Amino acid sequence: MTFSLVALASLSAISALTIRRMRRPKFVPVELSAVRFFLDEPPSESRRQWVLCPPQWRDRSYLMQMAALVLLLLAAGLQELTAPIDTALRVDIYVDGSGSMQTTQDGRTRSEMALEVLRQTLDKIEATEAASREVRVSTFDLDVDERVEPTSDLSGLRPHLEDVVRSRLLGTDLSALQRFLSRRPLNDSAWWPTHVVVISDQPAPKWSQESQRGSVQWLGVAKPVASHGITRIEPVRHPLSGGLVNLRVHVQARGKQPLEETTLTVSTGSAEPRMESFPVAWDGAGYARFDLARSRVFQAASGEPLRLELSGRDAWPADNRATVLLPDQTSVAVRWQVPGATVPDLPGWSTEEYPQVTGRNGEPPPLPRLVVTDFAGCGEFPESIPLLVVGHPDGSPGPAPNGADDWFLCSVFDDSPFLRDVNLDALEGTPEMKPLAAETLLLSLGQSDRPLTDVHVALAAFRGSSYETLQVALASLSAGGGRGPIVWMPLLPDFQELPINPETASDSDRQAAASRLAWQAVFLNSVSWLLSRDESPLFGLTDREHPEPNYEQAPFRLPLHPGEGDTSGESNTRAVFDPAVRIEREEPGMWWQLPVLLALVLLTVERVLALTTIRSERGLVP
Amino acid sequence: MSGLGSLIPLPLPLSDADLERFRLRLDRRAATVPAGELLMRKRGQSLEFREYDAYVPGDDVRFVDWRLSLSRGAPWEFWKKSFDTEEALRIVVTVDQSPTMDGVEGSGKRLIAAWLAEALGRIALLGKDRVVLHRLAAEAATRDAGEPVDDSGEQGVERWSGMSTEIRNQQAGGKIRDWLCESDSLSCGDGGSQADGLQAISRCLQPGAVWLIVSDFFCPPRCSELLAGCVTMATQRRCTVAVLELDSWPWERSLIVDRSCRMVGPGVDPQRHDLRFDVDDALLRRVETRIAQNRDVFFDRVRLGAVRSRWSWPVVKKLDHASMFRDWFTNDPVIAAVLMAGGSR
Repeated sequence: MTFSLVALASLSAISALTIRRMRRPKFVPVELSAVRFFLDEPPSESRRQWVLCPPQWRDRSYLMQMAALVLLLLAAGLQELTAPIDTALRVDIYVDGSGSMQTTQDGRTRSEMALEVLRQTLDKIEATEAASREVRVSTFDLDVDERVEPTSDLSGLRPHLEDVVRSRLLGTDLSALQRFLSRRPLNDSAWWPTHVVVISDQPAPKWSQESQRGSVQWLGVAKPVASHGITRIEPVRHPLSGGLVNLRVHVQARGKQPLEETTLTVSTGSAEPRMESFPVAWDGAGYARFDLARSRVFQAASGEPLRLELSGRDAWPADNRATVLLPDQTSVAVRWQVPGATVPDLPGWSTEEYPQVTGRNGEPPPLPRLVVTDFAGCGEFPESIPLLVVGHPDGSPGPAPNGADDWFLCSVFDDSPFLRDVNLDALEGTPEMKPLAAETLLLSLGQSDRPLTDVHVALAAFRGSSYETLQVALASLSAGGGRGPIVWMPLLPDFQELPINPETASDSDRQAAASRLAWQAVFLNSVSWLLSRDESPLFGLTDREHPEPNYEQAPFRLPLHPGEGDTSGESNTRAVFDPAVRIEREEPGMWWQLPVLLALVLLTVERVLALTTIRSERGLVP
Repeated sequence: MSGLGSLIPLPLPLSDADLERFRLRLDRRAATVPAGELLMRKRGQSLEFREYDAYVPGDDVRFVDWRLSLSRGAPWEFWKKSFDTEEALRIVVTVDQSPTMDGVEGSGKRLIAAWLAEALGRIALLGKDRVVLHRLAAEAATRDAGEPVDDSGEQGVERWSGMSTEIRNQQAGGKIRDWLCESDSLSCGDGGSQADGLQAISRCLQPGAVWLIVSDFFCPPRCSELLAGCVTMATQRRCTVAVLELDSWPWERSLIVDRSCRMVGPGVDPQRHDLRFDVDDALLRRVETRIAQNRDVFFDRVRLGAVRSRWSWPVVKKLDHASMFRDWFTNDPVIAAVLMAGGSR
């Protein structure tokens, strides 16, 4: 640090001196006997100007100043050079502890191979001549754990290596390792490493070779081995209703060995277990995909887990099985606000009472079920099921559902999901629509200071059975515990065909048709919105808090971290520690050579120009 | 005195043997010419009778030839005898003592001129000739930069001043250099004449005399014209005129190594003149042209009858004045012409 200041100050002084010298008015006195013959020449202005080749050997003050500064720089630099050389050996070792290190390779796991490489590294360290030898061992997966404090007792460390280096079914986050290395202080630290060693089955990232302080020694332990597994599980929703209808499972085979005959077994239910096997048809790239129809595969009751398992043993079996929990997004409960109301006939929609299972095996209903309950206050059903409240057509919302403290009307806007595909323009001309909508909006918002929550929503349409006008408003429930989403409607729409002859239809007929279509769209949007509210994931991933996979009880945790099961890669780096590859400590004074070199070049150029000028002007050179 | 003073005490770089060699050349010249060649037909007081002349009142009565006067019969008419006389060679050395001859420290123009005068004087005295030393200085009016040169020749603006002295015996030869360098500025010494320096020299230029002019010819044009007129008059008197130009400009030019210079020198007041230049080749060429034009003011007028030579200072880092002088003195045609002047006449 001291030299940095000296070098900076000296370089600045040299530059300032040279610039001042080049900028000075250099009217050097010259005595001539023929001076009177210069009288007729117009004198030059006394101005400062840039002159590239000012002379001059006789300008000794400038030369001495420059020489003093250069000598100062050299002295400071030599002091740095003559500083004692650090011959100690401090090795910082990072061992991959992710799930892929459990891959079996040549009869051993990669963790065992990493352990062997670690022992070889310790042997190398002990065999290297150094003033002192210290080792720090850390593991990394999704983050970095420092397992062994810096120690010089290598013999005492060896028996504990197996406990230190262990693999867990977690993912590998090399960016976390990079961040850790960049944050770990190397300077002004009591223990800064001379070597950084990483033992992993992952290919060496680019940053490991681009460190300004020297390359990280990346010791690879991976070879391509055959393995297959589940890579991704994702839900497929119904495009109209938004309900989950399919489960898409991606499987992939990796490695150079030929693929064996593999089957995917799907089982559901615990009380009445069902199991079905599907042969895996690999494509040329070793990829296969299964779309498991919900109606066909999961006939278990809501909340039952679905278990998937690939047959066969491979190098990394952790991705061969999975257990997922499918949300019950196939039913919408309908609560009737008026006793004795008649459920209208909704073609294609099942209206069997909850909790009876609707639909037959192999013949899934094209649309979600409408599980109709009795009028208000009657019947019990899980609050997690989406609820469609059908109120009286007099416009009142009726009594609040179970678990709701209050509810009231508010407005929705054109960009509301409930009004998607609703042709509001077709309803223009209905005089009562806009005033009513505006009045409802103002009253509801003006009288309520409760926050609106998007999971407690009601939808209202009004003006008689002909739907001459469409009033769309939201009603909000106050927070009522764990209740699921709710939509309130005055009546279910009529899906009966309403023939209209465009040539003979009156305006009222046209408005009735438009209102019916609009109301049907609002109904479908409401159901879709209700079913898409539950976006809970199918499964969770193992993490540092829960490193062990859980296939039995919800919440399920699987070791399906992206890229973790890819066993096709081969390490592209050496597997032996090299003591000669050292990490250079960032010494603030080591850049002294640059200012010294600049100063010398500057001085040399100035001197050469001066000499050339003198010889040329004296006629000593042509 | 300026730095030149350190050069003045330097002794003449020619040995007595060298001077004797030149004296022998002078003697050989005298021996080879017919007798009486050097005789100047003047009425003098030698014992060789020349003619009779009519006596006029005021003549020395001791030279009246009484016998002849009585035999001619007329009582009021007297005849006197006149005799021939032989006059020795007279060498007049005019040394320009203008401030420009001081020049730059180390140029040694004034020293070279002093050495030359001393050498010629001592050689002449060895041959029993007479030496007249003449110090001449141009007085130029100072003027502002850019102001055109005044060639009107107004009195008091550009003129010559100087003084002369004649050295007759050999013992006084060693004082030549001292006399030439006794003062920076001209002043009237004992036995010298002041006022217009050219008037003083014109009295010395008798027929047959040899006149050597040593100058750098940096004098103002008006002074050059006056000097040229005097030279023309001398040639008409059958004097041998030789001109030696001391040209130190090539060496002084090499001193301008800085691109930006402030020129100082004799005759220019630095308080009045701001001579700061960004020197380039064009500027130096213009100055050289101006120097040549100034020199040609003199030489264009004295082309006939004048022997001319130029001693140019070499472009070297350190001048060896003694070596330079020896080389010039022994090889220069002007010096040979001066020493052979009697023989060629």
